[in-house]
Amino acid sequence: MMDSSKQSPSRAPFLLRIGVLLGFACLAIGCKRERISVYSVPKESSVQMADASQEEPSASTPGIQYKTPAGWTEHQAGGMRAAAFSIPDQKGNKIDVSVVPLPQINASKAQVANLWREQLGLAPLAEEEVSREIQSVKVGSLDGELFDMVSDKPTANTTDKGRVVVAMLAHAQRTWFFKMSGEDEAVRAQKPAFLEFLKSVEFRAGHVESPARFTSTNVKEVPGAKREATGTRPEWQVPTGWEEVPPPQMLLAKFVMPDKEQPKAEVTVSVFPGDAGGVLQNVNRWRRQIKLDPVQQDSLDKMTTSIELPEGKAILVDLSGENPTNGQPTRIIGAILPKGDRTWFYKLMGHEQIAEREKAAFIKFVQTATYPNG
Amino acid sequence: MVEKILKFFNSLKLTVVLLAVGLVLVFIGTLAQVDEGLYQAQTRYFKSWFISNPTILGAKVPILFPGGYLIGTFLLVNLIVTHVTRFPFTKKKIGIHLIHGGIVLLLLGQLFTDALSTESAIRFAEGDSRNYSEDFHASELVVIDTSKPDQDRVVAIPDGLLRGGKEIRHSDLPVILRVREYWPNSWLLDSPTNNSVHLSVSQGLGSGLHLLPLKPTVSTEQRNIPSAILELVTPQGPLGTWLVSSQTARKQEFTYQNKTYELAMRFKRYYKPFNLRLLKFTHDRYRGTDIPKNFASRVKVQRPGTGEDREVEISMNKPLRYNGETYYQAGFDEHNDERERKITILQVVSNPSWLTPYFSCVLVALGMIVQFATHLIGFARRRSA
Repeated sequence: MMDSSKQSPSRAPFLLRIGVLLGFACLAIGCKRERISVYSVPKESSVQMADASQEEPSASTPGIQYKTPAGWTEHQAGGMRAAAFSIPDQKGNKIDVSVVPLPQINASKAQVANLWREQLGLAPLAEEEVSREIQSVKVGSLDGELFDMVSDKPTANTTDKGRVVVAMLAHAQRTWFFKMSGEDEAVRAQKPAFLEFLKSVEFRAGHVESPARFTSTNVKEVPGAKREATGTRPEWQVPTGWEEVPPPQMLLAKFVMPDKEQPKAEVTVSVFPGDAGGVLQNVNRWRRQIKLDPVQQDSLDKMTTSIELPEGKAILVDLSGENPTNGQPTRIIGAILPKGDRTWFYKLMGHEQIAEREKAAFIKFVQTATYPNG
Repeated sequence: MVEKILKFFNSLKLTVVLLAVGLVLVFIGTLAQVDEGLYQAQTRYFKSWFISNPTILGAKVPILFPGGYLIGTFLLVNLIVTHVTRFPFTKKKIGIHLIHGGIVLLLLGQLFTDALSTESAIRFAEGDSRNYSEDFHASELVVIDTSKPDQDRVVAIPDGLLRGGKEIRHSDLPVILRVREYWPNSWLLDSPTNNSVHLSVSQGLGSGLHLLPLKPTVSTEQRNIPSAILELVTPQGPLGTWLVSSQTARKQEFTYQNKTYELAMRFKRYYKPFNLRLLKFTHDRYRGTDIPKNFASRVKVQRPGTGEDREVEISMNKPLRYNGETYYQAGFDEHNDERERKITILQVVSNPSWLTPYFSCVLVALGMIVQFATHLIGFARRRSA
């Protein structure tokens, strides 16, 4: 293909032209270098139309609007809560009011009601008994169901009998819980205001995100696919050597133990409303992650211990199995802490040796956590 | 001197060496993607003049290796000089000219693609409109003059210019931006953690928060969240310090000379002269499974300048080609099932020189046909003579 001939002087201008072309090409590369740009754009409000709240949920627009009754103090909502209030009673105690939207649940009314009854130390009711107890209630223009339960004796959070009033309704592919809890007498006194509050609720079309103080994007690649942040999280003493990294969705926090050599381990923290399926279901989920067979309740009781925390007892489980991908010996040490209307999950998962080394630090980490809203 | 340069480039040995080095570059650049990630490896190995300490078979090697730009440019010059000096323009050599022209076009086309193409995304929910897409990697600091009723004047500063604690001055900026701190990747927290920094700013959001500096990510699954603390300085004195971070889209404002400005760090935006409005997103799955069968976005293209207002469906294999850009159905929000308004993700590719590879291939093919035909005809003539 190639031919040899001597260079012709007459081709010099042509080479010059080629040089200029290459110069432009280099300039084109240079164009991509970072420089300040100035431009005018139409105002966002005239372009974005319906999506003002889509980019980042704001604390004041949590998917509902409402009229806050007199004497109620609104707090920064966080976690799963779309709104949170407190009301001081005459004894100096507080009544808590919260609004929690959850993806629609497939539980019966009795199962839901018995969750609250359990908190009050009441025996579970059958479905027909719960149906008799339910009253209808207006939540904005929609019809909801109201559960009103009072304990027989003081509860863990009250010096007198405790009372829980919960309104529940399904709307916009969510089940909404409006809950007021506190001492019996004080809650009874606030019930009319609570019912007025329910009537004042207006659901914002479409937007039902839980509020977030920040949106974290580091775990998602597509611009704008902003992960919701965690809301207010506990404060804790992070053991030396643990490195916090942005958590994947659904987790509140994630720590890794950087180890230049394999194997590695990580600690994750998550929180879910209610009992999140119960201890047995969650332990069996963890067991499956390390190729262990699920167990029954009686076996579970034998394999769990408890650790004392200022907030109560956390259930501790220590499981040894194997990593399903590489077959290495893998251990899960988990702590489950039911607290208020939520359950906190702490999980250390990693190679057997690392888990053993970090176990004491993990337990101390769980013990040092102090939780938002008391 | 010119003679020497021409002699250097007019060498077939150089071609062979460059092709061999290019081969090695492709090999190590491809393997480096395992350790350095796709985006980082592409940028460091192929979109660079030199690579210092390349990763070879998992280990950093302390050498300086030629990058893609250097090899490509040398190959281009080598080809042009060799061609011009060795192949005078004759009828007999038309095929060779076409082949070489095609290769030159291919190399130049790639250069222009690299220089001029952009990849970005639009993520929006049903009912939403967008007149911009956002970059996959780059962030920008923006100072927006919101004083006009219908238009905003935006000064966009690439986040890379904030490195090194500089002062940023520009004739369109109302104030001087003094960079107090800059983190190329970070994460904001309510409470402290190991290695986190307690933030202290005098204005806007951020005071009392904690920032965890993170190593810049090279993963294609992640992106960097740059944050900075800026001091805004006017001739009358400083206005205060602000935290900006692309972790939050919350607006922050400052006022100077009776004008209100917005200040934000955000993903770099590419504005369009039209709006796209998502009407409906559909996601079909194979019955009884979660395996996607088809996903598609029905969008409305609204262009105020021309009065254009039409509906288009963008699906997996049916991108929208419009305004010199291609809009691909790239993805959707993983929690769409729980959402009342489904969210779609469109990838927007702008590549003004996308046709050059096609032209190049046609030229090379044509050149080969001409060259072989010329030889064949000559051979046939000689034989029959």
